[in-house]
This record gives sequence, structure tokens and C-alpha cells, in this order.
Amino acid sequence: MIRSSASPRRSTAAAAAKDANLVDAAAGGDRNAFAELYRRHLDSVHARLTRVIGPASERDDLVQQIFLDVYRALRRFRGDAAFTTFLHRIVLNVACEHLERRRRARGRSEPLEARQLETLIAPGASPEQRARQRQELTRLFALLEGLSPKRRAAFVLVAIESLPLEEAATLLDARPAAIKQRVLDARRELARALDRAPKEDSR
Amino acid sequence: MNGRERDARVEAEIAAPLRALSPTLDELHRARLESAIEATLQREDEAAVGVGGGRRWRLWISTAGIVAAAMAVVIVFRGPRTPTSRADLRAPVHGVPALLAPYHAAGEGAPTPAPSTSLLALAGERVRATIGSRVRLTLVGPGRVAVVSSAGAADVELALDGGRLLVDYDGHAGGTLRVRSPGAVTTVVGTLFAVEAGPSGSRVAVARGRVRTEDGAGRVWQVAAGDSWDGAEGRLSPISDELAAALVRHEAGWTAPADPLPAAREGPAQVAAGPSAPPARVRPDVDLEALYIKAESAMRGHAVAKARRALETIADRDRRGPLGEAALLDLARLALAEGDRDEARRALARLPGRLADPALGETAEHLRCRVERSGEGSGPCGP
Repeated sequence: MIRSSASPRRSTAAAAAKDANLVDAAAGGDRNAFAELYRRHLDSVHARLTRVIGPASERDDLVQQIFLDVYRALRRFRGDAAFTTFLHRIVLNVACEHLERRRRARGRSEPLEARQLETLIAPGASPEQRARQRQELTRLFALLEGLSPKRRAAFVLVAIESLPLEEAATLLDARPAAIKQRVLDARRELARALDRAPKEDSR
Repeated sequence: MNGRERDARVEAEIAAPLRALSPTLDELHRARLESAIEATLQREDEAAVGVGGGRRWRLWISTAGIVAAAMAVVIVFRGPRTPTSRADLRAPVHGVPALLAPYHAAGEGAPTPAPSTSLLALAGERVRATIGSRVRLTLVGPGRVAVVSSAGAADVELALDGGRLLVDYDGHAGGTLRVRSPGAVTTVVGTLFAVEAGPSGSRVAVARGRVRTEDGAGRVWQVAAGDSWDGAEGRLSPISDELAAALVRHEAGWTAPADPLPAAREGPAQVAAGPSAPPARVRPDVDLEALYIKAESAMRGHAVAKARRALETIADRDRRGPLGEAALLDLARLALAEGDRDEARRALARLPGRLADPALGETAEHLRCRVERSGEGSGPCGP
């Protein structure tokens, strides 16, 4: 789950308790409970997926795939970890698999459309600002595209979402030291990419 | 460039701008995604257990809301946002049946348009439609409403993307109605109510009974008769006369039973200066004792949503009676079990000052103590 430093621990615990109740009911066949679960987490899943893979047109399909995977796996969920951890592990698996497919199809994958980028731009921006932001977003996501899926996911979780290494490691099913190395490698690669492709507005 | 400088550059030029993004779903996109997920799950169920299993699910879903009752009237008002174009709004909502049947008062002979998944009204237009025999809609433009999910005509979820929506919902025979509007999800729990949503968010006003509204932050509000909840302000206030009058006008506009008839498009909406109280309706008799047994059974089976619906109905129907009081105490217990102290406090606040069943007084005090003490590290409450 995307962390919110403003959320008091009490409400996080309450949310986790509610999730646990809903998971129990859903695992017992209560579809309404599962519907409430995906409604509760749809925004955080969509947001994290967007950060990891960018505003790709396949996002909606992937969100459906994620909740289908969760639905299928729910009976195996033992409650050892929080439901959000279980859910976001699936989010990151699906995201990394997608990035891997996209990497293999490099050259055949479609560039980001303005319409997709627009979903990330604040509604109040002027047309000029929007155009500039679209250009900047295209540049940023192109830089991330150069990273391997594992490095990219680690970089997003640690450097962008500011997750602790341990939490990122849990979500990516790796040791914290491995995550630290991936983030370091990602920063090196991105710095080299920045050297090769200077910012548009710095010309 | 050393490592620190490199990291600082990556942080400033890549991480910080990406961190500033906040990918969000708008109401319609969210509703469509939910609908698509639901359709995916439905297909999964049918593939996994065959057609018989699918039927069993549908039966379960359609009976899950069996205790949602009485008549509901929903008014949803949306401010200046204008729908993009008629062609754009004709886009079908995937995974839901075309339930919206255009309606007109009997006697007019225009051809009957086919049912659709969404309804559009341009500025000043009033468009009416029905969903089955239980839901009657009036959409005052500019705006649109779409069915985003359903399990038959009795369990329906609507998404309002603009305009004012007035809905009569007869949930007596079971089922639920949910209306999504900007920043709010309002669920009928067996009552007569109104929802109003403006540019800064939604407002919910209840004419009779009570509704459950979940705001964008996930907080649940129970809005009782005569009250209005304002999402932007996060507080309750009295229902406005204007909304109550619009509600009266909507009800009066239905001159015949809700049989699907040719489409209606009327002139600009005018809210009549009518009485502030909506007309009374005879509420059907429900065996509340039997309903309580079902609620208890649902609680034992951890079917919390089902139990809560039954208890809300009992609390609504037996407001000054011992059964209603017991239902409120159980609602408070359920909320406490979920760690939702605010919800528990609201349930307890609905108890009358002088209980019809004094024996419940001790339980009420115990629950009030638990509400106030939980999370504060104080000692346990007495037995």
C-alpha cells in the first residue's frame, strides 16, 4: 500500500483489521466482501502500477488481472502478512512481468500517448504548461524505460515512494541488501542516461 | 562526479518530479474499472464452477440485500460540469446489461427507444427511465448517469458524472441501490433519502429513514431523516427545502406505475415551491423478529455486511422500540469489532435518551465506555 505519513497508526490498524475481516469473508465465498476489498484498494493499486510501469494504455487490463490473481489466490492467503502486502506483491509481480514483456517487444511497443500522459497532469494547468509537462513526463518515463524491471521497481519503491528497504524487499520478495544494490545500480544507470540526454529546457 | 552528486542529480531530475505525480482515478474511470473487474470475476466464477455455480452466485448476490427495504428517493445534483458530447456518452459500459428503459407518462405515442447502459440529459432537459419495476429515474441535465454494475434489476450501482438525478427505489422485496457521485458512495439501506453533489463534492440529504454514505477518505456516515451531510465540510446540517421540494416534484411526476413507456424529454427543470416534507408512504410490514434472527445468524457467520443491513432495517423500523435499540447496540458492537469507533459512537448516539427496554441500559453504557476507552490505554470497561 502506498504509505501515507499522515495516517495515524490507529487508523492503519483499523484498516488492516477491516481488511482481515473482508478477506475472511471473501475467502469463504462472500463476493460482496471481495467487491468491498477491491473497491478499498483500487486507487492504491492503480497509483502504484502507474508509478512502476508509467501511464501505459494496458493499465486497466493489468488492474483487472491483479484483482483476478488476488481473487484466485485468496484461499491460499494465510494472513501471515497484511493483506496490503499480499496485494502489492501481486501488483509488483504483474508490473514486472509487464515490463519484461515490453522489454522483449522493444521497438514494437507503442510510445506513450498524450491522452495517457494527461491523466497525470493537474487539471488546472494551462495548455502551455500541459504541453511542457507532457514533454517532461515523456522524457522521465523514457529514462525509466532503460532500467531492467527489477531495478525499475526497486527504484520506484525506494527512491520515489520512499519506502524503507525492508518494506521494499518484502514487496519484491528479495533481501534488503539486494534491493539496496538494485537502487544503487538504477541510480548509476539513470545518471549515465541523464549525461547522454540532457534536459530539454537546459538547452 | 562522486556518488553523492550523482544521487542528488537523479533525485532532483528524476525522482522528485515523479514523486510529485499523484495518479488518480476519476469517478467514471473508477466505476468502469470496478465494473470490468466485476465482469472478470463473474467470468472466472462461471468458468470455475460451471453455469450452475454462476447461478448460485447470482442468487446469493440478489438475496444478499434482502433486508434492504421500503422506498428510496435519491436526488443527485451536479454543478456546472457539462458532459462532453452525446456521442461520447453513448459509449457502452462493458459488463453490465442495458437496464435503463426510457420512460414517459402513459398516453404519448413516440416509439420506444431501446434500453441502454447510460442516460444523458442536455442542459435544461429532464429525461426519465426505469430499471425494472423498482427504480425510477429522472435525470435533469446537463448530466449523465450510467449503470456500472448490477446483479439483476434489484441490485444496481449507478455512477453519476454530471447533472441532478432523482431516483425512486423500491427495495421492499430485497436488493440494494448504490449511487456513486464525486467524492461519495451512497447506499440505500431501506429508506427515503436524497443525495446532492456539487462541484466541491457531494451532499446527502435524507427525507425519511437513513442512508449510509462513504466519503472519499473511506469514512462512513449514517445520515438520518431531516439531516444533510456535506462532503466538503464533513458535517451534518438540516435538509434544504429546495431538495425536499425537488423530491416532491419528482414523485409527483410519476403518474403511472413504472412501466417502461416511450422516452420523455421535458423543458428546463423548475423546482416548484412545494412543501418541505415529502409525502408519506405506507411502509410494508416486516417481521422484525424474524429479521433479527437472520441478523444474528449473519453475525455468527461473520457476514458483516448482511448483518448490518438487517440491523439497520430493524433500527429504522423500530426506532423507539426494544428491537430497534438492540439493533443499534449490535451495530455499535460490529463497528467496534472493526475498530471503527466513530461508527460505533454514531450508532450509540442514535439510541433514545430513555430506552424502551431499560435492561439494555447497562449494555449501552458498557459499549459507550468501550468506545471512549479503546485506544487510550485506560483500563477495561466493567462487565
